[in-house]
Amino acid sequence: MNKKEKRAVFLRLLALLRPYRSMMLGAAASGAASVLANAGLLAAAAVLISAAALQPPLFDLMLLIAAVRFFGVSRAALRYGERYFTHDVTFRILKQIRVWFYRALEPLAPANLQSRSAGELFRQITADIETLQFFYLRVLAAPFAACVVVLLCAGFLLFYNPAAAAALLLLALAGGIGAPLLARRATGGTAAETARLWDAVYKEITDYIQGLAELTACGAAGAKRAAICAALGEVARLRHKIYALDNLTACLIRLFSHLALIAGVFFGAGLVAAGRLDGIFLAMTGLAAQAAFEALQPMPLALEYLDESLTAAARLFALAPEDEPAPAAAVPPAAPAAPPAAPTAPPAKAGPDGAVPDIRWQNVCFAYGPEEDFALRDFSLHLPPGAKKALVGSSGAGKSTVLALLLRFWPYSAGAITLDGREISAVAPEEVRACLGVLSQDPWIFHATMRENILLARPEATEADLAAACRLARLDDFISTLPAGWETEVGENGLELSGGQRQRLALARVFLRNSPVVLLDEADQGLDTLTGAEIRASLREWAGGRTVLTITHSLSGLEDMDEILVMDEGRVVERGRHSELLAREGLYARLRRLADTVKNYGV
Amino acid sequence: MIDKNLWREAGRDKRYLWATLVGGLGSGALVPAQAWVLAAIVSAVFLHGATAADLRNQFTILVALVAMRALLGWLEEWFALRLARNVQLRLREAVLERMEALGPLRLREEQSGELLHLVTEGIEILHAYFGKYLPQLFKTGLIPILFLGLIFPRDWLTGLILLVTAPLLPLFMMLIGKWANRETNKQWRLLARMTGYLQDVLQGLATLKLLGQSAAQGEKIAAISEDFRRVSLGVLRIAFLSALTLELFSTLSIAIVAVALGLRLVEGGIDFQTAFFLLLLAPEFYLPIRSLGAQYHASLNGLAAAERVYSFLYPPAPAGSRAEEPAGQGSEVGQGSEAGQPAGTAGKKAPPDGNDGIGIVFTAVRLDYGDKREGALAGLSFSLAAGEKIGLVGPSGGGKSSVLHLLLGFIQPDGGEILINGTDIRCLEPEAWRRLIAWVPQKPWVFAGSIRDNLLLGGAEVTEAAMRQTCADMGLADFIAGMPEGYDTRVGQGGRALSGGQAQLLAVGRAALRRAPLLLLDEATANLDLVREEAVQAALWRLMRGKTVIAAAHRLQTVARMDRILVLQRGRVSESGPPAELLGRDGLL
Repeated sequence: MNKKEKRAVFLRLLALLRPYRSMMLGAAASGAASVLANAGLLAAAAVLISAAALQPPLFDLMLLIAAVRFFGVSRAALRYGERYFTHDVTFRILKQIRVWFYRALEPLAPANLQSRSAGELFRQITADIETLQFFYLRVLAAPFAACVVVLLCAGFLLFYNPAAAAALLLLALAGGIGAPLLARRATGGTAAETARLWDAVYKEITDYIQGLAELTACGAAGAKRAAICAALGEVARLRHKIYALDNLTACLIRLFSHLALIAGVFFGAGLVAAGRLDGIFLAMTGLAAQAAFEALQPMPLALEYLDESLTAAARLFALAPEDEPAPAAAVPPAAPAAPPAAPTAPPAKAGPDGAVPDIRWQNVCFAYGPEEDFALRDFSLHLPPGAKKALVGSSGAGKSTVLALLLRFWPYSAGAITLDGREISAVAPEEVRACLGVLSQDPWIFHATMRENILLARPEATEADLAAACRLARLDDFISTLPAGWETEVGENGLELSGGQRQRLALARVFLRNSPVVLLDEADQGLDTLTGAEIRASLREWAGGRTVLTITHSLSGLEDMDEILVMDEGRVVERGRHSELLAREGLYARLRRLADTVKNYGV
Repeated sequence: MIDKNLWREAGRDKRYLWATLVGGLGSGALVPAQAWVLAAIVSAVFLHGATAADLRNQFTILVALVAMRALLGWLEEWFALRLARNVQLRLREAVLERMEALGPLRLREEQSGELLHLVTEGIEILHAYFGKYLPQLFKTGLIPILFLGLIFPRDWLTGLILLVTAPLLPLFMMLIGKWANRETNKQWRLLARMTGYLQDVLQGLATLKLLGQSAAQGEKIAAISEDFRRVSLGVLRIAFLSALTLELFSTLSIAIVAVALGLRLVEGGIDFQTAFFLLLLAPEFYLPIRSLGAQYHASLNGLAAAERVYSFLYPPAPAGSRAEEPAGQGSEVGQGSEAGQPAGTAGKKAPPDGNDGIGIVFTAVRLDYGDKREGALAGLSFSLAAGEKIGLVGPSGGGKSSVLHLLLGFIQPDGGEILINGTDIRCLEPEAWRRLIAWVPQKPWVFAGSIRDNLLLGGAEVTEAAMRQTCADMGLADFIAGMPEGYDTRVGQGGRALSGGQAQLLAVGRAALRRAPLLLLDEATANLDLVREEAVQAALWRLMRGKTVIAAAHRLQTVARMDRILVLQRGRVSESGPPAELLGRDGLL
């Protein structure tokens, strides 16, 4: 990032925190006040014993004694308040950032989230958000408090010992800004080098853990480990250098605080000798100057966190660009789609919710990126109400892309997709999706209970609807074997479930959703042959007047389809009914023969 | 709090430990000296009319003391960090070694993400423990005592105030801290849950959109975050009391010391220089205790990390099994004394010469696999002549992969024996034995690096030309030529992502390049679609020529041309014979 970009990111970050500015100001002020109270305690104590050394009547000291006690108590109370308010603000900011990010990201997903290794990306996002929650505390509040404290202490000293005030300002600048900047310049290259090396060694360790079987089998584990340890040693050496420099900064700040004390006493001595300063204030001017440095201690961290925060913020901002109209924003947004636009009336026993629309793809072309090949070329398909059609072809032939475009996950570049004659780009994405029930290839299973996971398809569904959907998906027997039944937690991304169980859960969602159009992407996936056949049968029976589009590469159960489209490299190479395609002796017939060999030999 | 394992680990770097200690005590000892000179200067100017010029020497000494103190403080931490660096490196090595000793299968039972975190961030946390907390612990133990020794002879009252309040600080800290810590831990778990929720929602965003639920999640994230804030603040309100008492005790004690000194000065019971000296010392007296409190988290995190590291290195032995006693192994962390190996490497034999082929005999091999029935073997017997090719088929969990893993030495049998050309496999030197095996796993891992690196994993010694020839023979040439930089294309993490089929092709190429006499195939074509499977299958037939082969498969097509087929069910051979014969029969097939 160059300076200008950093500035832009910084300003956008500040804008995000704007709603909390008075709270932030208050919390930072209480932080400054607690340092000042400590300075006050030491200053008042110094004056107290200096004055007492002249043995005045005790009564003259009462005010000083009261001041010492006051500062002694208020320091602790202020400190408590500071920590409390700071955390309050930090939590509020965390909430603000999470909600903002989600809202900014949501309309663009999943197009902006693909093409990267997803798990890594999401870990990065959550880590970045956690980094940003400290942006206020460390980057904004700490320097603010430092400035307030130093200026107030210097202002106070100005009345007694102007030279000491000047020394304080100079030393504070040197310690709070000069030393951290120098240290950063000194470590700059090393830090980048360390980060690069660490990233590399992190990947090597992942390889070592995940690929240990291959490494062991190839006798390469020892050599890999030696390489990792050597790299770790180098990282440790560089990090030690950085830590030592960081520590040097902290030591310099402490040194400068002592020098400020000495300067205060030194210049004070001159003033006392010249009769321009009462001797009882000599110790005080030194101690007050020194105490101000407490506020400078977090300064090196502030600089470090500024960089970290800006990097984190830049990454998040890149995922959720500002003001760029989301695909959804092209049309007036529908009412927040809390329950999907599907009507809430109880479903008629036999039929779907809502009218069955007419869907048509006309000469659609699409590429996932400007440099990518076309994933779909000149694709046309008509799904009149109640149609049962299928897309077949090997992986990468463009079958799932057909669905993604209808779902408005991606904008298509040429051709038209219409829903009851309306171009779908002119319809709110939520409205398009409301009439579709989709079984996608990688349905996400949420870290929640079975019930919550299925109900997601139709939050207002009754217990009877739920049970019926699960019966159709052959999930009811499985659920009854679970110790906690419906309330069983399924683990992160359904880790506790087998492939078949996941698939049946996803199918149960489709049944429960009860939409007029059903899109099934590899419905057999993960199911054993018997269950697969059972589910196909229940789907057939349930489908009735619904439109069904099936995507498959296994080619089973296509005999009754109204039309089958055989796809290869984004094109439709054959289309027709099962028997016609077989007779044609083309790709379909060939794939079919391969599948039969497998079936006959299959164990 | 000191973890005894960590302490022993630190003890192996005595030089740095002592240097840290000396630096810390040295800088601590300079504090009273500095206070004394400063008090003398102030007293001379304030009460005796001295000028700055009169005190030039004292000021010089004072600056020197302050500079010395900064230097020693820096060195102290430098040495402490140096210590941390050595300890971290040793522990990382030990954990990595332990992983290999556990073997890939038992490692798979651990959460790989957690292990990665342990080696990287987990051990990294220890730098704060050794670099900051440990030196502070030394100083907190020694410096206040040193100060009291100097204060008591001068003024017993100040000494008494400090002596009485000092132990109260840690006491209150512990009392409140213990409770607060439990509560804050709950908070962190809550935070982790909240973070997990966001991650879950983001990853499932496509699914949420399909179900029309995505917009509503914004409200839910806000509600959960708000809940978290309210609950957290409720806890923190009390957790912060520990810091409050700490602060209150130290500032109030300073105030009391100051007032007591002031009163006695009025009465003439003490001279100004001593009183000022004591006033300067009072905050410094509490400083180490307060700093230790600030490092409290470093200590907790360090202890938690140590606990995870050591429980991985020396897992608590289950009752009845051979205990792995950590105490005796302090100096040989990670030497990996692994159960299951009947003898040390000393008694190992060199494996057979691969040129004559490999003959294998399984006799009543049992594998219990813990409580799980998946993959267990119940007295498996079969034999395989050199150059013979057999296919293993059967339902998943029937034990096919276990046979291959036993041969690879990833697991040891719980009973029976496996003979390789007449020698018990357990007596073979594992590394040398594995040199005779080429293995194509079910889900091959793609390593970060070039395609060439991946093909030559383990340093197969072949020329570039021979490598290209082998890849061409195996039908990989098209796939590699299709990559943007051919053999130099970066793949794996940080490189191009390969599909399951491409990864499998790479593994086939790797196996071919090993030129080993024994070939083990574990569902080698399982991830390929039908068209590509044909191509790979053709390559595999070429690869099998002249080798002893065991191929596990769930599709019979893959093994249809083998000499013999074993059907494995519940850890036993239920049927066997040539493929044609088996297909004719009415068994499981």
